[in-house]
Amino acid sequence: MAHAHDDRTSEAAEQAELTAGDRLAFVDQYPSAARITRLCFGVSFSALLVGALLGIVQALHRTNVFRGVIESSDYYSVLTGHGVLLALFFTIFFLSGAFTWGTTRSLGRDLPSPRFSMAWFGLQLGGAVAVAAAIFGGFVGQVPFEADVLYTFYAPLQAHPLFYAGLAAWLVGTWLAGFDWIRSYLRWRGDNPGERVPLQTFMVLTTMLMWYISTIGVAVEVLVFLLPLSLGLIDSVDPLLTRTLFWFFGHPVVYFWLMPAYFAWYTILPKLAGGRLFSDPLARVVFVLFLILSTPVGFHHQYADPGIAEGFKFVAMTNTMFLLLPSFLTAFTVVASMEYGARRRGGSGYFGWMKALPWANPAFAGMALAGLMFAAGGFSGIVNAGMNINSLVHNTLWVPGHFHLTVGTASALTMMAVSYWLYPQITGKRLQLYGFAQVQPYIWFIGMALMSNAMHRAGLAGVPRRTAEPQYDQFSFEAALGSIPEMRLQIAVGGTLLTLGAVLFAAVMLATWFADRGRGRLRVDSHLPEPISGPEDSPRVLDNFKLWAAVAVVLVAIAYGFPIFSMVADGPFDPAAPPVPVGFVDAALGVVFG
Amino acid sequence: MKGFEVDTVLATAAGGGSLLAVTVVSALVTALAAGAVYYYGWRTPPEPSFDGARTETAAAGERAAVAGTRGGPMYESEVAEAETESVDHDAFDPVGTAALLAVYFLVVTLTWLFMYFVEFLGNGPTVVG
Amino acid sequence: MHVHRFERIWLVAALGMIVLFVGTVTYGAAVAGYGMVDAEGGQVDSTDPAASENFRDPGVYEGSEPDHYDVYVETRRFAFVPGTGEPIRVPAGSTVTFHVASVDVLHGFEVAGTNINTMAIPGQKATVTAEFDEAREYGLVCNEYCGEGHHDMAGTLEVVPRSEFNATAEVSA
Repeated sequence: MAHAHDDRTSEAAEQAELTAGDRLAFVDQYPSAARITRLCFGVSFSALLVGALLGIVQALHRTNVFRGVIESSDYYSVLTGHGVLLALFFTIFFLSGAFTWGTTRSLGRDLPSPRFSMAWFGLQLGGAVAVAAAIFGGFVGQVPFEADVLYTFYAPLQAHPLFYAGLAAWLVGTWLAGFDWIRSYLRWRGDNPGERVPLQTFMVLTTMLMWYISTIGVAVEVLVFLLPLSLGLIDSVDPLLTRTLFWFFGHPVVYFWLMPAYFAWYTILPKLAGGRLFSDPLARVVFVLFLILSTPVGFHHQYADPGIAEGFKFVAMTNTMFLLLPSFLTAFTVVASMEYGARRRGGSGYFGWMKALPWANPAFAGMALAGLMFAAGGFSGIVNAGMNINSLVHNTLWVPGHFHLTVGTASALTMMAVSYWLYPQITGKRLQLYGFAQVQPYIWFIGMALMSNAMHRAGLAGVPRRTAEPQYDQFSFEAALGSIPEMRLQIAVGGTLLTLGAVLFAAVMLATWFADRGRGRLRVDSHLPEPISGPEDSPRVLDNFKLWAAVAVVLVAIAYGFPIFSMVADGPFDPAAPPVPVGFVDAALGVVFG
Repeated sequence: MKGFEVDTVLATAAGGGSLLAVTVVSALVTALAAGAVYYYGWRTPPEPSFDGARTETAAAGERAAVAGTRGGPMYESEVAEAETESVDHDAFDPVGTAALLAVYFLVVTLTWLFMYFVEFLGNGPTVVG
Repeated sequence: MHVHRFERIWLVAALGMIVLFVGTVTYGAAVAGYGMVDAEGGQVDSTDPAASENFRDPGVYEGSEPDHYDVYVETRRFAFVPGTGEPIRVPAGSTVTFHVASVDVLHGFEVAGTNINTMAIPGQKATVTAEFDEAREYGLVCNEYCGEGHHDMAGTLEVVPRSEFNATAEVSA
């Protein structure tokens, strides 16, 4: 167990211990944490597989390549499932597992109460199952629930109460997970006063503080407005207010997807590259910046909304542009960490050093390719953030083009890559179908490059997102670069490759899960080398969580205080819009809607 | 022959069968390629198994308890020596990183200016309010 | 705190890029005069906008200035009124303000391939003003999911040559 502090006198002894091969694998060293992580990953990967299969149905349907699977009116059930399963459950169950592993490993102690941990896992799982059931009810005519409201579930479109109740339960489960890790940290702190917080735990804590602040918006939206509305306890809501509350949460959630990826790129990727983290202090600065800047930017998803003054949109724009800073800093630190490893492995030259990196290691390749793709995804995000230029791309296919690069690759591919390295450690089984694992990141990268570039160009031509048939009788789209049929082809082919990538990943994980535990040794080790610049070089104020949380709350109050006040001032339910139920809901709850 | 068929298939009908054919063919070709790569090149031969016998007999009660799982306790692989040495934090100048980021800076700045002034401001009817 | 020289240079470059982005957007707003959709449209009734003070029956109206037209568009599941059943017609060389409201759920109102792109939120009125110089046809797309018929929701906007624009026939009272 490597500790965060540096002790030169015992370095030789530590070296001897590490190279002797006596380190027990995580599964046997921390059995409770390993079990929770396995369960979280199991749910995460299942959500990934189902979500990916829904994705290929969508890709082939909307490009008019193959429409034999569903009717166009059912497309939106598929789309809701794809969005919710991938963007909420795949990502956040993975985070729950990875953060459990990270805090346990870096603090050197198992979970304080395995029963509590199972409880939050159970709550998350129960909520997720309820939401999934509501969504899949949209495919089956015989059940009285439907939730074709998409992942953003805007009012007045309304789903069955099961959808909202499930979301609320799942959300509370994530809050409890955070308490678990915070409690572990506090107990460690009691035993280790004055020590710097280990980096992985620092990242977990800052991420969760950001989560608590940001989920206030969606919790109020669901518990005060949408769930009562769907149960008939209230008869109307203000769509602008509920939409604003959603985006209060909807932007920071992307950092809830991204920060686990950064967590991996900062702490695991340097080791896989044969290098070390270039700077621990910069990593802490980056995570503090995310804590304070992630939430006060939500209006950049509402640039095209009436009812919100331009001044608030401008403030959100400047905050968003400054939110680029932690990502730009990350680019430097992560690439420098890899470069250090490449040069130790014999790489040379300004660009040639990249060849010396371990591209045959699937965990490395996945994370490196994910980072590369994120650089492109960041750019399309800058266009999205640019207030007026956003009108060029708002609600067009450019937007999914952007987020498939970011959550769909930077986060998703990193999560898959981390799993290749971590799953053996939490199960005690060596990775099976290793060749498939090696090739999968490249298939994903190529598929995404094809699909995403076509989505961006189609968006510039005005092709809308979230629609089953973007071919209209009344007019045709004009493309400046390429042609619409060629873009559709790239989306179809790219989507097919991505689905293949997801299936390969699932195959590797399943084969590993079913493999025998074996005797003796894993092929990987969890030792993370000391950074080149360690935490002792950074000011202690970085570890002052209370300060940064307070700053975050103040910035949110500045960005959101007045706008929300003015929306609520004329009545929190006004201007009142009655609900519009999707599908069967009104038939089943006929008595409620009268 | 296959290339010729694909060309004519693409040239006909706007949607439906032609794109489906191409997509299926691409998927099959990729699956074959993936299988070939797996089969020929990239399988790492498994390492000889490390027999944890010498520590199983050790006094540590915890480790013995762990052996209750099928197969016994699992150990990590050896840690590379390079990871455990101490390192001088001034010794490394990331020139490769600087080079890559210089390229990225240029690409982002130029692409942004193009997107903003050509694609956006140069686009369609002027929006004034 | 030890920050490598290269990292300090990159920090300056990164801040420079951020200033560039904020600066160009501000230029676009202040100098090029691009107007965002904002709260100036005011509020309307969420199911019957035409009954509200700041909305009118859907159609094309002459504006208060010469060569200015106001187009009142209702978005509903699943059509633009006007736009879908009958195209919206305005003359070339005019300045048009679109007043967009929804009668049921969220919709989008986009003139495909242009920068005219706004949300329609029940209870709010969106206003977008644009200058149409040349005569051509545009498509209208609903780009915000509104239900199972969302993909059928589209329309046309025809910018006709002045001579063809018959004011008495096209413009509502």
